[in-house]
Amino acid sequence: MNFLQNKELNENHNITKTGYRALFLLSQLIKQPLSRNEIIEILERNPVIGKDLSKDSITNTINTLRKAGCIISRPSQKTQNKYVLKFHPFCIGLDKNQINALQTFRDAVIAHEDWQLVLHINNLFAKISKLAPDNVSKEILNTNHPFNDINIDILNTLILFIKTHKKAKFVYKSAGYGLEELEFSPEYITFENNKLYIWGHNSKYDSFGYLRIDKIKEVTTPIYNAPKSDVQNFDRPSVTVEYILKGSSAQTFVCNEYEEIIKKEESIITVRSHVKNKFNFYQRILSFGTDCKLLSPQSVQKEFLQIIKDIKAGYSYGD
Amino acid sequence: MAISKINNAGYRLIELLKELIKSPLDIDELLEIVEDTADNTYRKELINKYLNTLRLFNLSVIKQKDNKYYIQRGIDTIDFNEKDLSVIKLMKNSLQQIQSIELKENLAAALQILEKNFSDSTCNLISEKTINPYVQNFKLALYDKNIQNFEKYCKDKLKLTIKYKNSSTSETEKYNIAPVKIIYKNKNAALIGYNYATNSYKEFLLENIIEVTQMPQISTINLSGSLTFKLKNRLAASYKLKEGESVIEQGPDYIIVSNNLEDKDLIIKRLIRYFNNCEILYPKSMKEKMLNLIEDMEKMYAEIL
Repeated sequence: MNFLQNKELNENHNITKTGYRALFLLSQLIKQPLSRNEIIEILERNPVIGKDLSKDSITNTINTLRKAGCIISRPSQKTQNKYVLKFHPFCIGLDKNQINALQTFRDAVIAHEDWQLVLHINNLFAKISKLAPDNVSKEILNTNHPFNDINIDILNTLILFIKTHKKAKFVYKSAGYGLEELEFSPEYITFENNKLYIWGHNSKYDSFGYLRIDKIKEVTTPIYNAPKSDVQNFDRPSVTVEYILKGSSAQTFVCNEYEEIIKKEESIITVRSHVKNKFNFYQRILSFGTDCKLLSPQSVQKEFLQIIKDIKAGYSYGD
Repeated sequence: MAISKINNAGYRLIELLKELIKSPLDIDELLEIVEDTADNTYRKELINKYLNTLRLFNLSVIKQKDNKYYIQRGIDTIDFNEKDLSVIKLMKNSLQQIQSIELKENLAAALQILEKNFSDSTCNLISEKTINPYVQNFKLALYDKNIQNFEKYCKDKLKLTIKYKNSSTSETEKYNIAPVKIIYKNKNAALIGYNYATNSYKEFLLENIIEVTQMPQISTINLSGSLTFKLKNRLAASYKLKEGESVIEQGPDYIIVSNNLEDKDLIIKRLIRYFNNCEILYPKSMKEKMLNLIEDMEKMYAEIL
């Protein structure tokens, strides 16, 4: 808020100047911490407040704000001799029910896997978290989403590198090798199973693949502008898999961006999926249980059957 | 303890502003607040003086038809950018389709509060540019037409007998349940009910509920034993506990988790996603259920061997 003077009113109207001064000081402290001299300087520039403010009148105004419920820290070396407004009770805030409603809306959107919309909602909720009535509600707005472990600066850098075809060095925490340095030309981002993945060419392994964005710990300055040909000539491995779904899994099925329903007969649907991330794909297929059967290709059927056998083996060693 | 000197008029004005932010008030109510603050009596003209001061400060003090005053925008406003506003507009547009009365009311109230916190630059942005709602090509589960009825059943806290179409068998099943709450999953809304036959929670897709009979008895829930499962290796370290879960044992490369709330059929579908990094330990019936599921799935691919 600008707190410019209302043009229809001026200091000659019937107003309380000391009250105005308290409000004006509050508005300035909301913007930034201020030292006593800075406060005097700012207040004296305001035509309503005028000149010749004593240090005592500043102290009195600060005490007035404190009595009204503001928490203002005393100037000290720690605060660089500035008054710091830590809390004020003049917020038009949200209550817990309203925060839960906002969260329900976000959850409903997350289910549809539009990661960009989820990011926009997260940004919005982070901004409005200062309107939360308590720390628990603030945490809901700030952290109840699947992108908590993602460094937003890294994500923004990745988005920029995709747009500008940059190749960069990544520090990546991989499951098997711990922290490793990779050269990577990012191409696009996907959102599956509540995780964000970046796809591109990995120079270290000379292959096109994906990295989990929450596992990228650092992205260094781009090495060079990767020519389009550099990334487009690589074969992007994807396996086309077809499967049928029945029962509640068919009823509640939502296609992800690599899937299409190619046949629908009563309550049975046939899905074609261009699988790039097999781990996620098998997780998805497992969760359908016996509602799902893989139709083709046989290599995927075999791999899936081995996974089932491995799970079964885990139980066989039990009691 | 020393009493700090304050500015009395400033204090009265600020106390009045604090109350005006909370709710609309008429002159008499405002006068009462000021008098209570100062423990003194004043003339009504003082309130006009204070309202003038707030207006001079550029706070929009609005007088309603019922002669009550309110502050249209807050003192500590927020700068929203075009993307934020397009998401706000999307939420506003979705209100027409959201079926839960409670959710709709709370979301509408939340959006109103956000508007009260628009900064000057946000208001300028809105007046200068046409803000389009974020384009969203999917139907949210919140729009399910059956939600209102079931929301009422949950509030009534009476037992329900429901006829439910099992999606897998297409057969109609009958359940006696205590309705608990509505949840939203993918494109569907579902009722969480406490199933008296199995003493456990179960999810019912609203669109599969064929018939509902509300019984006169008050619904009660006696929580039965929990389901425990073991998570191994990296999953043990990275697992995030769900609602109703707790870690009951922890080792160097495993954890044992107890789950009290989740639908017993659905938890199996979730746990199988963890491949061989997960093993159901208790109860035995659930362990057997998981094994049966795995064996049934194995049989489906018998022909490729």
